[in-house]
Amino acid sequence: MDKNIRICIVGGGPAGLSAGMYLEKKGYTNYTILERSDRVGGKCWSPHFNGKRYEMGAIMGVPSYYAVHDVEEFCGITHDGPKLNRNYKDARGNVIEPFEPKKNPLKIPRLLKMKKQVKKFGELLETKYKGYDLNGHRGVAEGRYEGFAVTPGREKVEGYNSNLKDLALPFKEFCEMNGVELVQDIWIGPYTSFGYGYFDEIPAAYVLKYLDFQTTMNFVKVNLWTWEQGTQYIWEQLNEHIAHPARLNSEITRVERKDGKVYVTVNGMVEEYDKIIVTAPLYVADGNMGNNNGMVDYFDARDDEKELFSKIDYERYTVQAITTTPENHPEISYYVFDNMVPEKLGHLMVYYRRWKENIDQVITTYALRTHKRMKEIPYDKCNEMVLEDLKTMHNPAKEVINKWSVYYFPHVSCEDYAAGWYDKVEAMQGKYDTYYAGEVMSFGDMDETADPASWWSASSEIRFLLLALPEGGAK
Amino acid sequence: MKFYKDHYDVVIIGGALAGMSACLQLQAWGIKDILILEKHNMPGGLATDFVRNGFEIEATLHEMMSIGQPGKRLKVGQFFDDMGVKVDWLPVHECYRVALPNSGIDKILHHDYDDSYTTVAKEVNEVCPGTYDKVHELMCLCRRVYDSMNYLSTHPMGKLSMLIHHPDFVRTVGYTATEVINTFNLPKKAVEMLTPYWIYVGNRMDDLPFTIYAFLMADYFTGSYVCRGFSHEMSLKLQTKCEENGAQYEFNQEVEKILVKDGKVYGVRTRRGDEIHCDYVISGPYPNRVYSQMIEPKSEVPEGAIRMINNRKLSVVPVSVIMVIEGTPEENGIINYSTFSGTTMDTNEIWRNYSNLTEPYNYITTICLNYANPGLPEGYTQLSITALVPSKPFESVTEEEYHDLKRRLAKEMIDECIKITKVDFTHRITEIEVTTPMTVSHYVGAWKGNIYGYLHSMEDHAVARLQMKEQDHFIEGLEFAGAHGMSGDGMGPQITNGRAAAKAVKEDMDKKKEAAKK
Repeated sequence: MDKNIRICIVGGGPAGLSAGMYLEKKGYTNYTILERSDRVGGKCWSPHFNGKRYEMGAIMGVPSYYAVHDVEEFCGITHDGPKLNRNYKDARGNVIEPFEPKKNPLKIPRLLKMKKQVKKFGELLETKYKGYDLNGHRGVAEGRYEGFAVTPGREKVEGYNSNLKDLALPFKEFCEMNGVELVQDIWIGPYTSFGYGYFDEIPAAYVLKYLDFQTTMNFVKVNLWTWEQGTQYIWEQLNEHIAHPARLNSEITRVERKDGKVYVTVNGMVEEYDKIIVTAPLYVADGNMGNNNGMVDYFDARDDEKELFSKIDYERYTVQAITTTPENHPEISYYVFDNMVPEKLGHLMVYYRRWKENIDQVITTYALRTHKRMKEIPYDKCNEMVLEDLKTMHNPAKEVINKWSVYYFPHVSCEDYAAGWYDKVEAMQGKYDTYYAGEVMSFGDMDETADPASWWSASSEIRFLLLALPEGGAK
Repeated sequence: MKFYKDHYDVVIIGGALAGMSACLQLQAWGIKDILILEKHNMPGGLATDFVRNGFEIEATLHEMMSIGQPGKRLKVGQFFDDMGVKVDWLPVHECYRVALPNSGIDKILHHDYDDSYTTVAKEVNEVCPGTYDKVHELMCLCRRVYDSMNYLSTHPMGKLSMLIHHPDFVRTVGYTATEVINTFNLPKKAVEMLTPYWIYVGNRMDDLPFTIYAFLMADYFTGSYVCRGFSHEMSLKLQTKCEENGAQYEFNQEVEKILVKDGKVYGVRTRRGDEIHCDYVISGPYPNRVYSQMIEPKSEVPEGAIRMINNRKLSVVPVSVIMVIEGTPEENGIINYSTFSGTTMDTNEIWRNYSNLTEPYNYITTICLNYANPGLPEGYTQLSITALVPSKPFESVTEEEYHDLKRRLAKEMIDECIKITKVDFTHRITEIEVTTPMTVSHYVGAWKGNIYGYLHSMEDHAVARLQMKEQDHFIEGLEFAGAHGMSGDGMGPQITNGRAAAKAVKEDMDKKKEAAKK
């Protein structure tokens, strides 16, 4: 393909910016990144408070985030943030140590059994589910794998493994089927409380592509990366280092694709491109996000796009940033496992403290508001519930300084996953001079940041996109 | 005959105050080959008016700053005189009325064109006894900083001589308005009385550079003026003068592209398709619009330009309710020209309130034209109520919500106003228009409806911009004149912004002539 083709990238979050970076590395230098808001980073949002930055979105990474590492290298930065640690509380606010046998003599048999199952699970994933951890979801529903190995070298691998079809099952069912139901006790920490939904409704593929065995062990060992200036800093830096920084404050109201060209109306003026990469939401189910909810609303969406993307659902994940009085300040971050079940929808699942010393820092709280079989908890109500929970946890808030409910973790249902949704989208890549590289396309690789309000680094999607772009020759 | 010549020395995009001042300034220097392209069918941009049912209605907050009395003109007034643009300036006899029922303040601060600072200090002292000396000193400090800024904007100076000759400017330049005012130890009430103008520069006192605050205070308290016959009259006079001096001024001509080759401007292309060549372009459109969408070809957009516009935050946008009300102002409970009122003067709290569209605005400015501009129809009151708010909340308003939102905002703002007038005039409103950022954006094409340029903050303010002038200049022959210019927003500063652009063009021309001689 002509390396001078004019590529429009919609969205200046991790996906859009790393798209720019990878395109540039491949020699496609004629790209334009359009970002609607006045900052880059998307869900990596690290606002300032009292001279420090706190995290409204992604908080941390793990050592196997190779794509984030690519970005760090590209920009000459490193994960220089505070070392995080955490503890656990029960729903009544008592500190507990659920994984410590000495503190839970009655649970020793269960803990031993869990340990065994974790080991077994690791082996199963290596053998029976070989290929489970590759980037992206291509072929999984058909029992294939094809993509990049989750290793520093990221070799391209492919093969057949019909067991992979099991990954379309809800994770809970998947574990039970494999006789490792207790591993959920470990996996739930960095999964449900991080807003990715409940194990009885989310396909195992999502859970395991993000929390592959290695990544989960990094979480268990608290082997985490953070950034002093926040995760947004990574993307601010990337935006400083790529040749064409994202154009902020650029609102797209219309995209028309005709005669091999893409016409994008930005702030009321039409711009012409050859290809367009969409990293912004493709479809927003209940359309409560103001104008231009999803791509299908402002593109001249074709029937197959509308039909496929209408299957996308997302999580209503609610984050609040609060301050406390010194005496009510939590001494560490806390997970509340009791609240990670659908029956406790809308309740506080985890709250984070970033800096070791400061007692005047911002604490961030996290709760989910949706589960397929339950009534959605309204945003305001959820916020109130969380503030009540903080009182129960003996860490009442003094003031709420920031909050948002963000379009979070777009995904498809087990049924649609099994029916080959990803392969249908794959077949559509490039068909309308359009590439779909939003977070929904992956969530599966280790460099997709994995934490409360996490954002996908989405680099995997971009590699996937580059695969889709022919390497050379005629268009 | 062709509509356009093949080539002009200078093309000015946008025939509003800044563009027309640039034109006049260039003409005064003997540069006559100028084309002004205006997208609307009237001159002046937002310095205009409109007619409803026979009422001519002012569209803006139309005070002019830096005019000065005859014989003691300040720079803007002097410019009008020098250019031979004869405007009948009507003095406004008050600074403002500040009405904060919750603080027990309701006081008009007056201008005294000979010694306003003394008058203001006296009037604040009437409400807060014992503050006279401090307030007077604060006002004088503002004036010294103002004089320094005016001088330094045209006279580059080394750090040491700046320290010697402009000590107050150097002392205060690194601090916020709040920080400097706090050193005066004034009672809260007095500070509240001296805070209202913050809204005209659109940032909280805790993040507003003191220099900007000082400039505004010193300038307004010196006395402001309005133009007889509304802003439109002033715009018309400027346009007539530009044409008399030989410029070609065309209406309904929207410029779509600025043509650049090898880092140098060579022309513009209009929506109609005319390609017009020139050596210099002075742009009214924001740098955001220009660098992201108007430069052709795109490959001529310097990388640093996008980074610069990304780093500038947009300032506030106006939400206004403009009314003609039956009855005299007195009958409608309105006793003066300009009133700031609300439930608080805590600018952090107001900013929080302004940053959402759910609560009624808690701080408004009300202008009653009758008190400044004689000749309005007898027995009617012209009133406008304005809030100047961040544009962000408006970005997510949907088409379906828009009209209801407009009505609700208008109602809430009128209710807030009536708290002060104590007379419910709603049933006497005969004409009403509500303008939002969308209205402005639609009318003049201002970037995101923004008429206030870029936010003045401690990170990015006029002084820093002045120092970065060279680095922020990207394309040869392309200058900017508008609210996004160095002197910031407001009608008076637009004159200065236009002249600054003209100066840059002139200097470059001289440089080239010099080089050609050699």
